[in-house]
Amino acid sequence: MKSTVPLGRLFLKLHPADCAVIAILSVAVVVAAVRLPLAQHDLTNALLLHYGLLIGFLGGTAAFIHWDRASWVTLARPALVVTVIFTLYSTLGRLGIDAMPYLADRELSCIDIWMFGTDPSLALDRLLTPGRVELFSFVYGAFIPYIYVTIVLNCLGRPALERHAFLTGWTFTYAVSYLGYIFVPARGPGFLDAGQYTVMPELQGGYFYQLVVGGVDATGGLQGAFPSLHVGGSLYLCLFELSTNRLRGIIYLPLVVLIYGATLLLRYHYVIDLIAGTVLATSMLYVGNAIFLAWARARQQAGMPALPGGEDDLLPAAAEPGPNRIAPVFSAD
Amino acid sequence: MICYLLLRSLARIVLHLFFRRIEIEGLASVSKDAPVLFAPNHSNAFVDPLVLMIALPRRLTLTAKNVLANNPLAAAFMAALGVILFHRKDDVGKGADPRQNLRSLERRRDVLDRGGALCIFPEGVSHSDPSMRRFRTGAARIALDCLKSKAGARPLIVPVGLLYTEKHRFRSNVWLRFGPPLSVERWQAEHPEADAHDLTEEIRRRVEALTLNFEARRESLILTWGAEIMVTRGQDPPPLGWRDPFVANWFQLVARLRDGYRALLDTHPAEVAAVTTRVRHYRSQLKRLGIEPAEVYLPVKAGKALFFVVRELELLLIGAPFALFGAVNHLLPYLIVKKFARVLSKDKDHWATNVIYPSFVVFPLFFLLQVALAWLLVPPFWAGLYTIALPYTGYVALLYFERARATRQRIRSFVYFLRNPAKQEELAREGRDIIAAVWALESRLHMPAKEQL
Repeated sequence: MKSTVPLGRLFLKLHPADCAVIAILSVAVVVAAVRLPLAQHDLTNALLLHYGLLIGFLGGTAAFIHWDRASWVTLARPALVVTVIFTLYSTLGRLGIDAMPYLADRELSCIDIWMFGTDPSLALDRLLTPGRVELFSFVYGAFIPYIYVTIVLNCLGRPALERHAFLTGWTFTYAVSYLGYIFVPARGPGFLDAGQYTVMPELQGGYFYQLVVGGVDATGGLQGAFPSLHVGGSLYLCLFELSTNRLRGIIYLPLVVLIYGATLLLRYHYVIDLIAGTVLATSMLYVGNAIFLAWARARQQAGMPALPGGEDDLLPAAAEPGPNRIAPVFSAD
Repeated sequence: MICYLLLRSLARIVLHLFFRRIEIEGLASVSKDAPVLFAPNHSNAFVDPLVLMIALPRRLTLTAKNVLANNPLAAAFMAALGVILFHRKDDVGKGADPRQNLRSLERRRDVLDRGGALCIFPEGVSHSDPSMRRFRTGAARIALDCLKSKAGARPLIVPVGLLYTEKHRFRSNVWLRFGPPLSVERWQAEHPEADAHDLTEEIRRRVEALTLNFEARRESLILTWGAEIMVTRGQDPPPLGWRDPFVANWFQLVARLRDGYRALLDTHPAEVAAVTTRVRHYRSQLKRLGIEPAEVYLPVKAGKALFFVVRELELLLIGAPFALFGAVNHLLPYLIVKKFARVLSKDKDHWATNVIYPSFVVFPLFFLLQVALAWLLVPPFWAGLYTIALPYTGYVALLYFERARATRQRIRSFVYFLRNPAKQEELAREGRDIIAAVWALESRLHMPAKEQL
């Protein structure tokens, strides 16, 4: 019984975002190890890479746990989590395709055809013009600076509670998506329907299109289609900001809407990928916040500061502020 | 009913644009099906009933003096909402016929008998006085009247407090408070000898407990200024774009200061006068310099300033095209509503009314006109895009210019303090001293200063 208390406290020092990253890295290592002797491709590099990332991340997490109240943790934790998550963006799609004995493209495409009666990717073919390819390529590419700036602003320039809720929800969005990358490996309609298109965008695209193609190639080419993280990631950021920093959220809303169109028009995703990304981002907005609050309250109940990094401990009352909230507080503190 | 629901939806949009924040307290205690008579204070003319209407999940029947229906637009609006008109003796020369009150009384009783919700403003008139005016007995009479008939309703009276931070300002805040319901039947059983005047007094006491009442405007001003200083806590101001603090906190702080002020004025008049003078002097200094009380504690550090510039610049640059498009497309209705408000408003009391009610007509009208023109003149794709973009960019413009103003204000204060560090130190010291002096004074009341309200 005695040993459970420190173990419990140790677990409470583990941020939910850390848990999500450790979980997805562990899944990647296990999948690579189990499929190593069976897969057609050599998974040794993938196994070593993810194992190394797991060990490195565990080391970082151990430091965060040890210096739970140090102020540098508030900056170092999101930096490490975001770095690892973005590294996995270009590795897990490949792992899923190499390790799994199947590709899910055909099934995903069938779902699209079942929903629309025709293949949406091929149907959109006739809408492609050089101007539109360039416009949507710009939008597709704008996703990158948008998410980086938004993550930096939300990990640095927001109140402590919001920062932690953001980091938790965002990490969970990516971690759950990565499960899709591994277990539902797909390369997108650009790969599946390659021979059926009447218009080849590479013949039409200009500067931005080439930029996007270069970017996709740099992150491993066509892989990790399900669910769409372009949609899931940007929608999560936008929804989070709509509830916390409304002006910024609403300003970027058109970009997020256009990203939906860009992923389809540029043949990177099936419609079902977009639906999955939308459901994931929307649910993680609430799930992430709930998980973070439950964790912070559990810390408080265990006699620890609610938040790591020596930050303000003021947690919202169990009932969220709203129409029937309890009397507000103002004290001399 | 459809008209009511439509107007309520429209009112919800308009009020949520006009006010930055509407906080509601005690809604859970309001019955959804019992006959209820709402008795609010009345300080913001025709905005008060709208705020109440959008907050309640049930249909609310409003009452109004008949002379308001002399305006055909107002008459149509009131008819759509099912407003019950009554004729006041004071308005006899202006078309009121008190003999018709029998009919309106019947209608009001009928609403309660059917288990409906009725709203009567016991003060009878909207005003900007520092405290509530004398309550009229109408609400109490109707409630007691219902009890007289055996088949009649057994109404509950719900006292309501409507508090506005600055009712004459666009994007100010509202705190709507519902008090515990008063069962008229039970009250009468407990007070068998009591009449409508006693019930009115009971309602007044309950509404008073939900509102902020001051003895004089001077008292209200000095306590509001004091609260502005206290609420800073002598700490760095929150970055722009952070969630606003709760409106309720603000009013509770003012109420707490008022209670302390009144109690100490008798026992420690000299100390109270000294702090009051300091608050007034400090406030006038800040006003002269154009600095908000919270900005006195603005950290003048290069790193924070750089982050501020990056954050605000990114937002203002990316948002500029949307905001400008929204501003240009809403300029004409905006100017028309502004002109209306300027011409019609003779006092602070009616300014919000004269902005909100014309907005009900002018903005939707212009929206329809602009959209119709777009569909006539440009291809369907662009017309559709314009139809979506119009409300979207209008909302962006609203938030954008609010943020731009706040950014400009903060830059101005930052630059001033950068050039005058000694002045910032002096102001910060004085601000913190005032806060400490107020808490010290409060401790004289034998109330622990750190006790939560």
